[in-house]
Amino acid sequence: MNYLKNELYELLKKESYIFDFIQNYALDGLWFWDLENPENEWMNPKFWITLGYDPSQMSHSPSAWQDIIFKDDLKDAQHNVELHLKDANHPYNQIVRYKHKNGSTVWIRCYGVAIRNAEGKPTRMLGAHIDVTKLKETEARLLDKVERFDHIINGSNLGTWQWNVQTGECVFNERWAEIVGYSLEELEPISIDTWLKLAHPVDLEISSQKLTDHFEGKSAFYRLEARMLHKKGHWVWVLDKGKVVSWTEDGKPEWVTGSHQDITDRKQMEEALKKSNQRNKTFVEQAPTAIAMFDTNMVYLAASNQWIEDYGLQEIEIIGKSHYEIFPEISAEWKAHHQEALKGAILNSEEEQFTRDNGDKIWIQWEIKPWFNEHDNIGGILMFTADITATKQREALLMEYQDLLKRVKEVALIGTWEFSIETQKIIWSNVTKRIHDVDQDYTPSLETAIDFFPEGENRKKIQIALETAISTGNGYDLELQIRTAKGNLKWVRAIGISDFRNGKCTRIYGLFQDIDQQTKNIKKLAFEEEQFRQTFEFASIGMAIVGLSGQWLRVNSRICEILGYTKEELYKIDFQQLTYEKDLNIDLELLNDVIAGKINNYSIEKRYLHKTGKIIWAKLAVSMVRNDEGIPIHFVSQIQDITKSKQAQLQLEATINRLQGILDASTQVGIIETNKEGVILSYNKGAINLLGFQPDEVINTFQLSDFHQLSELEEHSSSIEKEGITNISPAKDLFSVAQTLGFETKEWNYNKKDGSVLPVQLTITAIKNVKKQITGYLAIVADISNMKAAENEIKSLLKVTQDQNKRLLNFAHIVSHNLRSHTSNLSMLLNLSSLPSKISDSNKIFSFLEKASNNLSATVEHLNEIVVINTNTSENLVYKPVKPFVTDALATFKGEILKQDAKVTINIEESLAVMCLPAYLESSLLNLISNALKYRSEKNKPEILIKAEKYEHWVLISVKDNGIGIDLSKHGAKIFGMYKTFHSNKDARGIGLFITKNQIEAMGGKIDVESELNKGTTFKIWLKHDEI
Amino acid sequence: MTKFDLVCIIDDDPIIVFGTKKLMELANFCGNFMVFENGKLALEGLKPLIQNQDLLPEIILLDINMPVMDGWEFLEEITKIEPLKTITIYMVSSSIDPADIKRAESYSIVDKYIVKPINLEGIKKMMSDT
Repeated sequence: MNYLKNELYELLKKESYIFDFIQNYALDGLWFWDLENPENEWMNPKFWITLGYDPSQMSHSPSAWQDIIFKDDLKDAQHNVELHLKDANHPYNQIVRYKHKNGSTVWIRCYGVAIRNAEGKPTRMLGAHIDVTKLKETEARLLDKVERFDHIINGSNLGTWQWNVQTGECVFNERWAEIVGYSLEELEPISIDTWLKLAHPVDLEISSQKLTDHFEGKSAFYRLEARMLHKKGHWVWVLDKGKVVSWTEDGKPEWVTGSHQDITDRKQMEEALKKSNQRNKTFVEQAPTAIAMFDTNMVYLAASNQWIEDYGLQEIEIIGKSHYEIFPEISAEWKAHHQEALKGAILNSEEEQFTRDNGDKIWIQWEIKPWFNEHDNIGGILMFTADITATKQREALLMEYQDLLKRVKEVALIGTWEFSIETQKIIWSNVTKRIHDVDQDYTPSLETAIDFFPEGENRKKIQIALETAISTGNGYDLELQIRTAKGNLKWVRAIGISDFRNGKCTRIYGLFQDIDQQTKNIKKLAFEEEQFRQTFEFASIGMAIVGLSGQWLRVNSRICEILGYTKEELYKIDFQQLTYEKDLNIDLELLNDVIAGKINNYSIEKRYLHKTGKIIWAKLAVSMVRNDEGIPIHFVSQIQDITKSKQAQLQLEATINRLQGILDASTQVGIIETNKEGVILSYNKGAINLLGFQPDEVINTFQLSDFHQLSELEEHSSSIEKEGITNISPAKDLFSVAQTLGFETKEWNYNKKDGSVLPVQLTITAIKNVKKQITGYLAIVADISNMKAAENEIKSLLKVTQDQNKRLLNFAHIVSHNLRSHTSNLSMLLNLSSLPSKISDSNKIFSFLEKASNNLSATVEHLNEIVVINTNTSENLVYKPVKPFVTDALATFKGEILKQDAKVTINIEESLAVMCLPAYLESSLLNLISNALKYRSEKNKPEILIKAEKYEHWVLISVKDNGIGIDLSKHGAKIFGMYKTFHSNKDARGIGLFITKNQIEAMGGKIDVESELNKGTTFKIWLKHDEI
Repeated sequence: MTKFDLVCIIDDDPIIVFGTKKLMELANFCGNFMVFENGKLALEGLKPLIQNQDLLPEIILLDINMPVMDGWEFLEEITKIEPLKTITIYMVSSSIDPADIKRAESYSIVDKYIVKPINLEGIKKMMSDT
């Protein structure tokens, strides 16, 4: 502790005058309050002196000062005391006001501290007063000033800002925020960023540049007109001014204070004015006429482009120059005009002729007048000139046109007329007179004019029209008929225009046009249209006008019938809705092609959906209607209901397909279709398989008869001729029977492509149309070669069987007859023997018995032989050369040959061999040679020729003699029969040839005979050469 | 007295001839016979009798199967000469073939077809028939 402080402490304790010194001079008041007895409080004298009171007169109690303290402050003080007493940490420290004795206010800062006992309970309170009145007064004055400044600022409507350059801290006033449409609260937190965000980027740049200049001392003030973004989104102009008010220790700017003034209005006005000026300038420049604006010294202020062009001033900058400077040659007369105008006169001229330097004559219209500035003083003159040469020329042209029009009207049969109400006179133009078929010098009156209109409709109409025109001023435009002076009825167009002024009609004028021809044409057209409409409406095919997007525009009744909808229903929809979906695409495609111009029209078969849902087949023809420019307007469609025929067609197609199916399915049967002439039209797979020809080889080129063999065709022709059918030609006759009877079935041999022959069964059927006329033939060709082969086999088998049967029968005969004859003989003889008879007869009978018995035995033997021969099958045949057999047989008859002096010739190849049963061949040869010798001629020496030749699979052995021959016509059938003899030759048994025949046939061969009586006989034996 | 005076037998089988003759004798049918071995000989024998209007046999027994000219051929030839109305011709054969029987009937001059053997009853029938 500081020793002095200690000293002071000690002094304080001892000397009370130190305490008094301190309390008197260090403070402005001191008090000590007894909290236990609150009405006791000691205030030091300074306390009262400060307040202006005499201390000796004041009591030591709170009430003494409570009277002079401001009541509000008392409340606060008491409150604070309570708080402090409760909580020692809460300081008792406030500023209160006392009323000075002299009435003024004394500001006292009051400190206090509670003194607590050992228990902590506050018992006393010590307080100190400091007079802060001056401070407060200064404060008040300062606040006052600030308030005043605030008013000024508010009055000036300025936004204020304070910016700490170093920290960025900013303080704005409410107005600052208000300028940009915010409240200050809305902008918080406020900093320099607030400004940066709201300012226009361009202006920000300028702003920072200017700030820098100011900071560097280049400018005394920072001043800028800048734009800021208003809350509502538009820009406001502010005048931003500022100045640095404090600097940091190192000379940097610290605080800058500034203001914002809302100059938006001013800026807008400036802009408006600039625009306005620009507009005015533009207006003047762009004016279609030549205008120039001068000030009072005739100096150019503005000039229109036309002015510049008219006076050839393109190269010169005239604004600011004197008119006389640019046009030195201006006449005195003109200068006088100018001056007059400057004095206030308005001068003009409708037209005035000038001669240019180059001699051209031009017409000018001009006007000069003064203009007034904002103070209503003459600021200068306006000059307006116009070159009306062109106009003048046009006028002249107009005159010409009018003349032309007059002529045209005459040609176009348009006449004019005029009726003056006042004079009641009518004037007709020449054409009008002509229309009425009157002379040129005819003068019409109102009555006569109206009389031209025939009584009735026409006159009534024109009268009413005229009256209306006169009374109301309404014109009329009528097409009426007049009866001309020549008596012709004529259609005219009468137009009346009423000249109506001030509620009164002064005159009526108008036109008459001869529209007779036109009207007639129109009426004709209307009639034709009506005809067309009738045709359209009642046509028997459906007709419709269809819009470009497919909507039904107009339909006739037939369409309604076909589709089942009423006209009204159809007009609401389009054709696409009624088209069967599968047909829609192709229809639309073609429609588009028509629109695009690729095709002119199209015709298709399509399906529509009837209202009832059933499908309607229709033939649709569509064509396009275009206007004069070739642009499509609409379609015309014609629809025919072909449902029935389509169904028939579909059925037919189905049938044809089935037929085709049949045709194709038949691969083994040929189905060939021909036309009436027999030329092949169709040719199926079966025919290809059977005949080998391909369709393209025969269709339209071959006739059916080309497959046939000519011989067979001829045979057919002759056979049918026998039936009574006339022949035409073998080829044509092929169809004759089918023609007459409808069909013919016959077996033929066809020539296949490869040349081989195919046996076929051919059925030709005539194909007829509904009228029962033959349109062609259908030929069904069936391969019967297998059948034929079988048939042939059967036939041969049959033959064999027949042969067998014959032989059997023969055999039976033989058995029955021959055996019976012998046995019957036996029985007869035995019968006789039982009858009484002579001895000689008995002997005879007995010898006959013996004979008969022998005969019987012989016959049985023969039969046996034959049976044996016939049981020998051809499987036992062997291949043997022929010649040896012949030579051997001849050897047997060597004796007889010699005896008869017979000449024997052998003509047999050594190697020639046959399939035979050797025993039979030997036996046969023996028999034949024997016969040849036996039946020799009486007259000649026997000559025997034995030949053997090979014929394919057969060998022919022939034995020829020159003997007595056989009458074949008589005996030919029986020659090889059993027991047949034809001559009285005793050696004839009649059985030799029978056996030979059997033997030959057992070997699979054949025997034949040729003979002529008294000439000779040739026996021919056919034997197999090899296996067939 | 025999029934018939003359019978002609045309047959090549001597047994038949002998037998028939004997039976006819026994039956008292006839006693005189003309015998030809075949048709040719019969024609040669009968022709002149017809031409000369000589005594003709009342009955002819004609066999079918004969050499040179058989029964059928004989019939063909004999009808060409003259229709023998007065003579009764019996066709005699051991053939039972219906075809033969039918063929015999086709000849108008054949009165009957008789199947061998001929026996006494047969002869007697012949007698009663004529």
